[in-house]
Amino acid sequence: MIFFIEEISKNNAGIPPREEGNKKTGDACNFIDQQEGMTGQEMLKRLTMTEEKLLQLWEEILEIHDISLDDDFFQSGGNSLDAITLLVRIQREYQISLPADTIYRFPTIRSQASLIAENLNKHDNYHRLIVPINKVGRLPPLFCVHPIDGWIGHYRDLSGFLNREQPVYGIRAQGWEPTETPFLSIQEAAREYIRAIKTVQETGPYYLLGFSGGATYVFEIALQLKKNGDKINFLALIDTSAPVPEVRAYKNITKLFSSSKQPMKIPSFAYHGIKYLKQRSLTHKNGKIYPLLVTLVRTSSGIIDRVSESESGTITGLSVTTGPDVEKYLASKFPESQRPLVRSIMKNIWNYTPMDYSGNLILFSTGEDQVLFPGDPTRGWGAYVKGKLTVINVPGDHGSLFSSQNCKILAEKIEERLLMTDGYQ
Amino acid sequence: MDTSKIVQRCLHHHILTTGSSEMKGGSSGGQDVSAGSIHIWSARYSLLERYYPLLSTLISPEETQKAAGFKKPGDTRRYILRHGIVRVILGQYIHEDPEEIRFVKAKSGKPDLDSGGKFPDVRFSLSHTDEMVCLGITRNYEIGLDIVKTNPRTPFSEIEQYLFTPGERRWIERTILEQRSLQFFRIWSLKEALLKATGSDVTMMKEADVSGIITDTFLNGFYTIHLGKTDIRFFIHECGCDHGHHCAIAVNPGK
Repeated sequence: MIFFIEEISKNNAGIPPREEGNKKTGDACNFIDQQEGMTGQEMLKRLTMTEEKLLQLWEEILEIHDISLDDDFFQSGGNSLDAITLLVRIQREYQISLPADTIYRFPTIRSQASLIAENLNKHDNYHRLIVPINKVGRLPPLFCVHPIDGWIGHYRDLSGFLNREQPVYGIRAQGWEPTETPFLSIQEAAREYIRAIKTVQETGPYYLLGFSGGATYVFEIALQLKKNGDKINFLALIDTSAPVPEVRAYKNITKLFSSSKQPMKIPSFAYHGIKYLKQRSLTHKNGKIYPLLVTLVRTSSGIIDRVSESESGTITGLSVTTGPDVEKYLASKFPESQRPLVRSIMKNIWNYTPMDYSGNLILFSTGEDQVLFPGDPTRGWGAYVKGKLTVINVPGDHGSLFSSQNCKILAEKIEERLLMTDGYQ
Repeated sequence: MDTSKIVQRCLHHHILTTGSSEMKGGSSGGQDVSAGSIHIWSARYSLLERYYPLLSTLISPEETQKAAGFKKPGDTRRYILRHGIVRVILGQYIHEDPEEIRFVKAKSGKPDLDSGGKFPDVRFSLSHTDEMVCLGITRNYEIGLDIVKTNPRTPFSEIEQYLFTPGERRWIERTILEQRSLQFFRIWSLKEALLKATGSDVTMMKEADVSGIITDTFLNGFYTIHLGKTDIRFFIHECGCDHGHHCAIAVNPGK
C-alpha cells in the first residue's frame, strides 16, 4: 500500500530515507565512542544540552508539549514549512550548515542532536588562522584575508549582507595572538594561508576576496595556488591599488617636494617624469629602470618610519600626505599591543612585488587612484593581470565602504559577480 | 450514506481553463477533465467533520494505521478526513468506489492512481493545512498544488536567505513592508507547486527560480521557469483563499 505523499518528495528516490524512530541509544552512543579527548560524561552533557534546545525549538514550532526524543517530527504535526523553519533555527543556533532535506532524513530529536554534535566537532580541524564567519550554506566557500589590522571584522559586516547560503571564512594574521610571531613576507604568509584554506576546502576551484591590505595577500595566494595547479574561480580585490615598488618610489620622490602635512600639489615636471618612469618600469620589468627603482625603495632607510600616510594613502594611494611619522597614524588607529603586527604587515606589503597573474581578476573600486595611478581605472593591477580584469565601481570611499548602506551594495555586487562565475551554483 | 451529498455540501469545485493548445487531453473518466483544464477541489475540515463516520470507513487499513501514529488527536482526525474525501473525489474520475481505490508510487516518488489501466491519464496533487484540504486534478500532465496558511510567526527572512534565490529576495525586499509576508508565502507555494509538478527533491527548491515571472498580481497563464539547468514551461495559477490561505498550482505541459 502506498500512502499519499502530501508534500514534495525529499530525495531522488522520492521518499526520504528516515532514521529509525526507535533507536533509543544508537546515535548518541556511537557518537560518544568516536570522540577523542572528551569523557563520555562530558559528551552526554553536551548532547543533553542540544536535546534540550531542540525540545524547546520543537515546542515553539509545533506548539505541542510532552515530546519525547524519539518522536517523529512529521507525526508530531510538522509540515514542510515547519521542517525548514526548524532547520534554519538549528543552523542559526549552532552556526552549522545542513542540507534542505535534513529534517526529513533526521526526523527525531535524538538523531538531530547527534547530527548537530557531529557538525560542531568539524571545525576543530580548521587551521588556527581560519576564522569561520558563516559556516552555513551549500555554495562554495569564500575565503577573505585580513587587511593591515590583521583581523577579519570587515568580512563579518559583509557576510551579513551576502546570501545566507554563502559560507565565508576569514583568515586572520599570524601575530594576532600574543604568542605568535608575524610572518616576514607576503609570500611566506600566503604559503601558510593556503595551508589554512586547505583545511576547509582541500581542492579547488577557490573563491578569494581581499580588502585593502588583504588584497595583496589574496593576490599572492592566487599566484601560488595557480602555480601548484589549483583552479581559482573567483579572485576579487576591494578598493586597493597595486603595491608595486615604483609606487613607493614615486611617493618618496614626491615627498621631496613638500614638507607640509596637507595633500601636496605635485609639480607638473615631477608628475610627468615620475609617470614616465612608472610606465617604463611597468612595461620593461627586465630593463634597468625597474631594478633601480626597487633598489631605491628598498634601500630607503626607515622608509615606513619616514613616510607618513593614512592607510588609504599607503595602500590605495587615494591621498598622499607628508610630514611626521607613520607612528602617529598607527597610534590613532590601533592599540599599542596591535601596532607591532600592523607595522609588520605594512612593511611586508611595501616590500612586495607581485608577479604576473595569468587568471582573471575583479577589482571593486570606490574610484581611481588620482595620485598614484591617474587615468588608470585598474589602479595599477592592469600591469600584472594577464587574464580579464574587471573593475566594478562601488559607492563610498575607503573609510566608508563598509558602512551599512555601502556594504549592502558592495555585497550585492560581489554576489552578482559570484553568480556569473562558472560552477558557482 | 451517499457520498455525493458530501460532494455537494462540503466541496468547492473550481475549473481552470488554460485556453491554450499547449495542453491537449486524451480520454477521461466519469468526472470529465477536458483538454487543457484543471479541476481544483477544496474543503474545510470543519465542514467535513460531520461526515467523519462515513469517511473513516473509506480509508485502507494501512492509512488507518498511519493515522493512529500522529501525536496530536487533531492530526489523526484530519488525516482520516483528508484521505477519505480524496478517495470520494478521485472515485468519480476513475469510476471506482472510494474504498476500492489503490495507489502506486510513481518513479519520482509521487503517489499515482492504480486504476488497473482504465484511466492512466488522470493525475492529481494533494495539499492541506490544519484548516483546509485542496486537491488538483488534470489529464495527461503532471500537476503540483500547494496550499499554505500565511502564518506571521514564520521566520521569513531566514528561510528566504536559505532557500530563495537572490532575485526572489530582492523582489520581496522591494515590496512594501505590509505585503512582504504575503509575497513570501506566494513564492514559497509557487516553488512547492513547481517541485511537486516535476517530482523534484526539496533540495532543488533554490533551483526553482520564480523571480523572473512573479508580479504584484497573482499569476495565471503560461510561464517559463529556470529549474536547475533547464528552462521548463508551466501553466501556473495562483489564488488567495479565505482565512489567510494562499494556493499555487503548476502544471507541466511537457509531461
